[in-house]
Amino acid sequence: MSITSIWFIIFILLAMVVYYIVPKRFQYLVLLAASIAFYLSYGIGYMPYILATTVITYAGARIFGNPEYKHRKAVMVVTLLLSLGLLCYTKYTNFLLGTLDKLAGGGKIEMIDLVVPLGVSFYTFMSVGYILDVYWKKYEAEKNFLRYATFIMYFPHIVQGPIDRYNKLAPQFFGGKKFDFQRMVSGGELILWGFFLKLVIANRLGMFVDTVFGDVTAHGGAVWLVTLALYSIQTYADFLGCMEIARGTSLLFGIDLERNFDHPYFAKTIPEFWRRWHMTMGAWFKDYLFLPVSNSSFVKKTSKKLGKKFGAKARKNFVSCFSVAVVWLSTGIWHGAGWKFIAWGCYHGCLTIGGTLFGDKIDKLTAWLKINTKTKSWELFQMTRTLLLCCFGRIFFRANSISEAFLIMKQMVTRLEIWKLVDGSLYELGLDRANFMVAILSIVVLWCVSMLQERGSVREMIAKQNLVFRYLILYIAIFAVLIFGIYGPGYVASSFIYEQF
Amino acid sequence: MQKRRIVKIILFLLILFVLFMNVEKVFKESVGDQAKYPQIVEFFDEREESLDAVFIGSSSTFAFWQAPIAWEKYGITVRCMASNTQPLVAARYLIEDGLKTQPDAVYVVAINTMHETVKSPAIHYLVDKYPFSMTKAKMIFACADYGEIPWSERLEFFFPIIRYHNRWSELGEQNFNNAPVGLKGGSTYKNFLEVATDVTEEYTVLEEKAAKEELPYDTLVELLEFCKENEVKVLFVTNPQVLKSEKRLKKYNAANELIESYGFDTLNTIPMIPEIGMDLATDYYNGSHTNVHGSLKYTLWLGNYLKDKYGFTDKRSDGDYADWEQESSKYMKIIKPYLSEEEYKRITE
Repeated sequence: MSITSIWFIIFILLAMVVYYIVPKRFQYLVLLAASIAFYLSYGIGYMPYILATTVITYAGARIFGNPEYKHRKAVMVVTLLLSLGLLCYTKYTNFLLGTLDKLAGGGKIEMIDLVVPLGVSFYTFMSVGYILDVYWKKYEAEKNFLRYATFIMYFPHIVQGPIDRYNKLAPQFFGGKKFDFQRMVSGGELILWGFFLKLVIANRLGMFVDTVFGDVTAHGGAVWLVTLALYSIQTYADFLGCMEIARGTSLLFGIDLERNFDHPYFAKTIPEFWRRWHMTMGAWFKDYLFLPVSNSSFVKKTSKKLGKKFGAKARKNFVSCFSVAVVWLSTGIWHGAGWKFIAWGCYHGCLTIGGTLFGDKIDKLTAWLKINTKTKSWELFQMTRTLLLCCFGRIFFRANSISEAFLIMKQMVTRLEIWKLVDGSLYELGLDRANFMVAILSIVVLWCVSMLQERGSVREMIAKQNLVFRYLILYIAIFAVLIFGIYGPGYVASSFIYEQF
Repeated sequence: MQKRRIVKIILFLLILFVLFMNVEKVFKESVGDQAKYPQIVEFFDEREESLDAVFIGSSSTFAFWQAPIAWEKYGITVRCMASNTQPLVAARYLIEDGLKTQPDAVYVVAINTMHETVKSPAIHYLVDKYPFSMTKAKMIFACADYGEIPWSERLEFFFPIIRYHNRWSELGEQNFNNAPVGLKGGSTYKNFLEVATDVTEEYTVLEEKAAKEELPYDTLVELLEFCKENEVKVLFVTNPQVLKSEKRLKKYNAANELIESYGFDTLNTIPMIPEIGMDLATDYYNGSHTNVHGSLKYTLWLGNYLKDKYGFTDKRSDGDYADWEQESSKYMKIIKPYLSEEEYKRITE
């Protein structure tokens, strides 16, 4: 059941009715039942994996959650390995076998027929966060299995996150929720905005992007520049759209999910971009990988040695750069089983490390050139630079392989074909002129909403308006989605980009 | 406070509903040739208990039968409830809905599409402009079940905007013109008026019958049981298509035998083509559909048959049927340039 389908709307309406009818202490069970039904709608084959992860992490945490238990660390490590092992087995086994097969000359190792369970990366990370938090005694292990299962399987976050934390999300399940009209309106508006982002913008741009990436040798630099810009917007609209639908849906049940985006394309540096993009993943890597790696005995010992030899700055740089490298390598691997994702992770790792190592020098150069960095134009330059660097990195992300990514780069440099921007060629790449205009207009709407969001909540702004204006905005949004949305039988709806992770 | 909120919600939903219905109407109008086939929607505009007969069937039905011609000649009111590749499984529900306003009418059911598998477009042609009722909902599910159309794709039959919304860039003046065609279902499409194809080579008549297993047996039995239970006056017709397919001809024969075993009348007109006087060289635009010339001959022949068999009276002097007079003359003016003087006289004299 796609979350952009009418069936999903019907599903949440039914779930809501039951949710607000049953006694408050049973509300979380309605959420659990709805989550199981939702997950099963994607196929029964995924169920054993999520059940195994839930049972293993619940049982493990119950054991090592006891502070007096002697083998806490050993049980925690085993639980962690089992949970991550399931993720690695389902997601990376064939990648590993494929790589070994290539090294062995090809055709010698057979691939295994495996299903990659829906949302496996997301629920594994949530369960790992829970394991480590319980181990670090941030909070106690959950005693009630059904309550813990509700947290892991909660349907609004199972497909693409956000990667929630147990201590922030779980208490909301069990407090008992009253029907709140204003919250319903708010949730409905978020869902509508999510539909607009996904169906009107992301799916429309996807038609162009898929056409261009379908034949990488056919296009020159100008077309690739447009494609990469549109792909960046597509990815953003796609992921943000899903998040808004998830947050809106959750709000209908009185539960606030974490925000996952904070206008990333307004970021001025790459690290800032990653603090604004997929924020819960960034925070997860920071808390459960960056900080543990930074504080590990290996890093401490090595940095101490380096500090003695090259000074305090080298020591600091090593700690930072090594941890960043580990995080970015893991981020790349998390995004997919393929060298292209590792290359993409390395690219962002290099940019971040570059910023750490050469940040001072760039600041000095800027001062030497007497550039006034307190101006809007400088901010605009920084934003554009960050955007371009991200767009460039997405070549690895979207291409089918690393070699294809390099081929695209070569095409961009050797065949600019600038005239294709104006001779109508762009209208022959999956989007005709009318659809192109709708795409541009929709992007302008997205940009305007983003600008308004920088000033405060757009939903609150709308709520303060007169009834007629409020209704008008809602009707326009509903019919924009209905008419200009790319869905239905004339179009094979693409799944969400982040669903595959 | 609570009351005001409820009023606001109702108001919002009401406006949304009205807007939705109108927007959907606009998008439905752009569905190709369908706009030229107002057989379904205008049927429901007919005054209660005003029809002598209702002709149910597929495109062959609205190609073969022209209600305005039958009116002009005999003063009888027999209008189509037909749509492109209409599934036979729908006939039971069409009769059910028809009976609500035309309880005394004879239901003429063409069985020509009983061999067809049901695909999504066929259901759209049938239901897109069909007024909502529980019978419509049942009909959609019956057709979709028959065609094994997945549940996830069935919603578009209730909300056709799901299928047609992406035609926004093709909208034109005709999409905003909701005026009825007002020709009592008379066909005016290009092939019907202008094309003639020699189908002499394709004409086959057979007496053998197909095995029971080859028929849509359950569908037929359900339809027959329904008609029996509700004491529907029904005539099962096989329109005079010119076919090479022996398989189909055998199926028609077997189906007619089954129908007769239930005590209903059948009229297989395929072997009667020479008797009706249809010219295979000039009266068809393809084997399954007549053009205006063939349609004229068939309508006059079948009209006469129905009139005599069921005792339909001439209503041309009845003021209650002024709309029939008006729309039929409008239709006659449209087809006149395509008919020879002799053909035209056959209707008017």
